[in-house]
Amino acid sequence: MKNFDCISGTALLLFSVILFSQSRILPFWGESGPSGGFFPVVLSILLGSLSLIIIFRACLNKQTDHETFKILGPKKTKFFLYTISLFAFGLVFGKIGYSLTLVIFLGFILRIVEKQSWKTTSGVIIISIIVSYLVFVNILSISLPEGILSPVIRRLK
Amino acid sequence: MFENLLMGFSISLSLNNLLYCLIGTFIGTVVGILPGLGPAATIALLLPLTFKLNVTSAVIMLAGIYYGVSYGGTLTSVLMKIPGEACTVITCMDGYQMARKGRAGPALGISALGSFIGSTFGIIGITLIAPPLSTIALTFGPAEYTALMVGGLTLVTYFSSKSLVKSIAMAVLGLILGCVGLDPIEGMERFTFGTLILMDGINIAPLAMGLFGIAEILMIAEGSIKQEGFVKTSTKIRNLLPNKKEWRDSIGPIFRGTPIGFFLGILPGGGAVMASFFSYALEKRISKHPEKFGTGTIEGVAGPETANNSGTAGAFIPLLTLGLPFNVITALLLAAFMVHGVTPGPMILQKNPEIFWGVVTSMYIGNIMLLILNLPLIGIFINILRIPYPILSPLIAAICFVGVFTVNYNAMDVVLMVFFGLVGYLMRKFDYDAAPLMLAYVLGPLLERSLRQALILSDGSITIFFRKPISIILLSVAFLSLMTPLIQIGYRFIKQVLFKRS
Repeated sequence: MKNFDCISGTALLLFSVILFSQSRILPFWGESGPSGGFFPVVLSILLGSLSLIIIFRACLNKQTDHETFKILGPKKTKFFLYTISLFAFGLVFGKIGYSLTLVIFLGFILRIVEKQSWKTTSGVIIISIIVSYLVFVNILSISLPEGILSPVIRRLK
Repeated sequence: MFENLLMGFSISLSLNNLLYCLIGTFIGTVVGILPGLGPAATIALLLPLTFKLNVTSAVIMLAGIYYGVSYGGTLTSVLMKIPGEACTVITCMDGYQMARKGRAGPALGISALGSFIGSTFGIIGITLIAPPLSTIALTFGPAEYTALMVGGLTLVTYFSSKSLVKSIAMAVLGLILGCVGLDPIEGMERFTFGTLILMDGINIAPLAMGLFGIAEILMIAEGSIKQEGFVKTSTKIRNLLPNKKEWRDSIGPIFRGTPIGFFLGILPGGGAVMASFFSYALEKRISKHPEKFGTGTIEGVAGPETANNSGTAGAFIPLLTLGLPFNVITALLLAAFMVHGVTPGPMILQKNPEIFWGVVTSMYIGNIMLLILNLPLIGIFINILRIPYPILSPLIAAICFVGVFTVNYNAMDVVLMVFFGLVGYLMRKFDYDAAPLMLAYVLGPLLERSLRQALILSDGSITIFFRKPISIILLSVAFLSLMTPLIQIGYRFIKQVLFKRS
């Protein structure tokens, strides 16, 4: 954990320094008492102190021989593909619509990443679309983004 | 008190509220079984969907998820030796061994029954303790509330399974995240970077779902969490009931576990988790055959399961009477109350007694529903366990996307959720606990408001925190829990020195 703690401690220290600099812009103390900058300044100093303690303890700890510095688990490619797909879903689903994004997302994850059969992939996609619209749109009355399929969806309605 | 209970039952027994209670407990049980969506992420997911409900129905449903989750977690603990939730970790020890001996049914059955009895007594405890505690809480000023929140947060970090320093750092980070948006007293913008989306602060849904839901999905994707096989068991009702000896052996642990769980559940931190461990340790200590614990004894299941459900009921007391959540789940329930314009706390019994008694009595009804659901529907829940993770993970992600989107109908919330998912993933990898962060994030604005109000009242003097006994006691507890590691180091050092001299 030595390397992990050094890195995380340093990241927290950097964050606390940035936070402190941003908080100093705000007024610290007003006429009647602490102002808007008081709490963030105190917290940034506290976080900075704690991160220094984490770094200091990590430096004092002996690195054991069997400890390897590995953040990612055994399936790195899958992890990256999942992360990219999740971000992509968030970025595009407002524009191209929920249904189309869900089809592309599930199709990509199940077929390409998880290597499921076409039968399983299509089955899961179809059931997901139907259940999503039944539960979210019909029962819970949530408006899901229609995107580029909006003319088609409106005709179906 | 009797009239209040009648009023509460008249509200919780309405068809609408019965339906929402059933939905909450069923979802809670399923969530307890499934990976990825824990109770925190599920409550955050459903929170925006409750906007259309009245506050009582919303809280009844969300509370149902909370106590339903431990039932679901027991299933995976007994059948797979994988704790579905932290409070069912200890059930793995004897529950799984009972399953291997072909007694999974009675293990699950006694868990359900013990949990029901524990929750029932827990609810009676709430009914008796909440009104006088609310009266005492009315005398609290900003200084006392500040001390209570500082004490609570410190104890949560103390009882965290991770390093104390790291847990405190996460709590501070949570307080910082709570500062984003408008200052609670003067209304000035802080850390909004000129964007409208951050004016209301970071929404709880993307934060909770990211840290708990998406992070777990990423852990499954990279192979850190694997789907295990489970012990096959009969799902017929008659095979779920314990025999006469098992009943006799369970009665003591159940009735001892109830008060243990209830009082420990009131405490900040993992009250229900602590309660289950404490109950197990007690049963082992007083047992005539302690060597049998860990080999499949019914006492090792009955006591902890009762304690953890009784603890769940106890955890509602600080939330409803003081308006302060002492764990992540009740923090999200507080958010649910506030979103509906109700502030739980000492005034709730005067201003909104129907909400208080409606929620308390619904917990009793919810536990009856769980007892009815869990025994006959065990077969269905076991089938849910069979769904492969590669299919489950993207589906859970898709549900999270919809849930987060419905908060503000803004796709950027979805991106923010994925970002926090990455943060949550890295936190797990670097061995940081997300629970103190979440709790501190919810308490942050309340803590800042109380702290600044107290300092304004005292013209900036911190002596205001040392004027009343309650704040002195709470701040002392906070200080001692922070100093405990140093005291332990000092004690070990002195012991070493004395040992060397002798």
